[in-house]
Amino acid sequence: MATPLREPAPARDRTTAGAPAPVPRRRTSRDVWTAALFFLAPAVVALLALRIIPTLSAVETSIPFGTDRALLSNFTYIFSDPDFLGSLRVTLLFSLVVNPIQIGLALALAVLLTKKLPAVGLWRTLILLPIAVPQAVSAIIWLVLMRPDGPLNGVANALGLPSVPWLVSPDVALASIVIVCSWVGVGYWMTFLVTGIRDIPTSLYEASSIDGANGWQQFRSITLPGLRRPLLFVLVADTVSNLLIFAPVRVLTQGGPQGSTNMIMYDISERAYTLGDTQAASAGTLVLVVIVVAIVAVQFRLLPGKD
Amino acid sequence: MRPRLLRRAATVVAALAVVAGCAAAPAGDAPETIVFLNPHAGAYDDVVAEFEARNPDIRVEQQSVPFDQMVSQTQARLASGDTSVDVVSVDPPRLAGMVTQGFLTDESASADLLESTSSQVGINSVTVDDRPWAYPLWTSDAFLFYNRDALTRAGVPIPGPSDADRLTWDQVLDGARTVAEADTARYGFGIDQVDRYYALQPILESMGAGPGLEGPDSLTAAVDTPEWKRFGAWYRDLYTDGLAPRGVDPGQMADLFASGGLGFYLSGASSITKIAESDLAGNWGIAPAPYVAGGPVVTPTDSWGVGISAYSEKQDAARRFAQFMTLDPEGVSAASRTMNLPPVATAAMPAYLDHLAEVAPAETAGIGDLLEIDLERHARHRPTSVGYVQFETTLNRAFTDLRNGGDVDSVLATAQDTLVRQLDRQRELAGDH
Repeated sequence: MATPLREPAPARDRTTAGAPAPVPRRRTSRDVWTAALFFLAPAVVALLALRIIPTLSAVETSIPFGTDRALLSNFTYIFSDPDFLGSLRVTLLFSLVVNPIQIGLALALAVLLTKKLPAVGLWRTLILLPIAVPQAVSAIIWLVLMRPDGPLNGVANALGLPSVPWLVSPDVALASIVIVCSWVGVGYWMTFLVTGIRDIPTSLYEASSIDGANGWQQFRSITLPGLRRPLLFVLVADTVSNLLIFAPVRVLTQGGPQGSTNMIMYDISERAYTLGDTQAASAGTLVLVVIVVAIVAVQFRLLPGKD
Repeated sequence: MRPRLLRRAATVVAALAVVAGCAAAPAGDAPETIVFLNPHAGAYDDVVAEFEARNPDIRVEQQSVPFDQMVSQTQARLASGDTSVDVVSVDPPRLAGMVTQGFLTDESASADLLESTSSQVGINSVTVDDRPWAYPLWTSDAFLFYNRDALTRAGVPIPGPSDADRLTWDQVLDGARTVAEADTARYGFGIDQVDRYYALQPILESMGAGPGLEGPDSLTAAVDTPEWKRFGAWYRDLYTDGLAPRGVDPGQMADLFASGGLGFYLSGASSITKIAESDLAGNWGIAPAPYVAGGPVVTPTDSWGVGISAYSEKQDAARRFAQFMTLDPEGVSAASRTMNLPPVATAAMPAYLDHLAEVAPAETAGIGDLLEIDLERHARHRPTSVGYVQFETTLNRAFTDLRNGGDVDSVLATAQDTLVRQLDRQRELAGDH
């Protein structure tokens, strides 16, 4: 059904055209270029308008040309600012915690939901449902749920448990953001892994069963190696998206209490749009770009080649 | 088949073009549309309708954003030179920063007009470098609202309505504690503008603390003084003791009081209509804002005005609307009805008080006198500084940290350090200009 082989089918031209005369070849080559240009243009224009030009503009804004200040003064400023350094620390801590949790849960759910469970469609829908809710809306729902006198603590108290200071304690707030982000993220990343598991030939599982392998051995020796490619994609994409978390912080904690959830995207947006310091915000943006590119570069090296 | 389809399509397009032409035809020219960016959804519908009826050549499109996003919206749009905003709501303490960044037009040409219609205090609130840069619309005051039933059942005396009856904070909080213990309301006390400097500055200054910004240009931070720490402990304890609700933001406080959840409630006139129309109707009252025993009585003042964007391409039309809404008594009355805030234009005051008397006759009977006394004797402006946004943002965050039980010394020390750094940065950036 699903084959890992993705060799391209032999090009029909090669067998039918033989050795064409120089003129038609040029025309063909021009046609190919025209077609390529036609199909690539929207992507290239979008890339220029939405990525390259804004990045160049951030570079220009972050360097105070035409003033008495040093060219790198905005970078010196943000790296001497405890708020910015704090946001780097919080973002790093958040990434170290949230990525393994999200990927681990997504993998566990993907394995579970590809088994023959009763009402598997219902479970899958329930897990995927949070993706359909806009981030800001889901954050508002969580804001009400996590209020000190809100429903979550109401349930906890009814069960005889103490109240949890979800969003009001500097020790707990970041964990609350991890929960909110994972509520959305786990289902989303799970879909990629479910597809990956479906791509693993069932014959491998059947053969290993005959050889007496148990579920755990099958997971370790068949599922995990078979999932390498989608797992690495999920790792890269999830890491990047978690570095760029904004809406839950804006809605739930505004970076507090005491800076404990001040993640880098929120810090940059505060500088730009509340404090009006676009120079420092642009410098912060470039730092973020460098971090993201560095992490992605390392993760890409882990990506498999043509296996 | 195909040509017929094409012909039909062409007919439809032609018909639409004729209809569109007709719609614009009667006035000769289409009305000029100006955009009014504000943080008060629904508050200006009456004044816009009234203005459009009198000025058929101008149409006003309102863009109302949430209160918390007004600063970032203004900053993002005007800093990028967005020409699609013509009139913008302005909070007076933020005016200096907006003027420094070149967001607003100099309205010196209207200085005489302003003098003849508005109070001096109102004019001062929109003046930077001796020139007016906006039109003041409302002023403001704080009052102590109370839940009559909750107080009576708990045996707490009902506070009187006049300046002479003003309670001290100790008296109010004792009463609030009694209400909470008797469980006649869920919480003893609540503040409408939780964690906002506007609401807390009067309490701070009544405790003997400074405003937090000092020096000739109000660019020196002083928020870790012993008086500030005393206030910090007081504010924190309100919430750690459970006397006031944690985790309820300003948007939900009036509803909490109106649903009977609070014994006492420190709020402004803008809550009156909501409370008067709630289940609490007939069961509430208004007393003067409390003060700290031994300290001065201090009340908040100033409120939103409107400015004209320096990037607007329709400044004349924008000015006509801004002036109608803030200087013409009928425009001011229409603009003040929904938010219920007291107007700066002196001629519009009687109509404002009449309106309050219609909404809540018994409860607001003494409010006119109280407003006059507070505005004349007790009102304290927020500091005017190009660093006000930095100041307010940092402090509002510090107040939230205190409310959440943060250590007073460390929260205020952090706020002080942050402010010193940000105000230095403000000076550094100002040096570029």
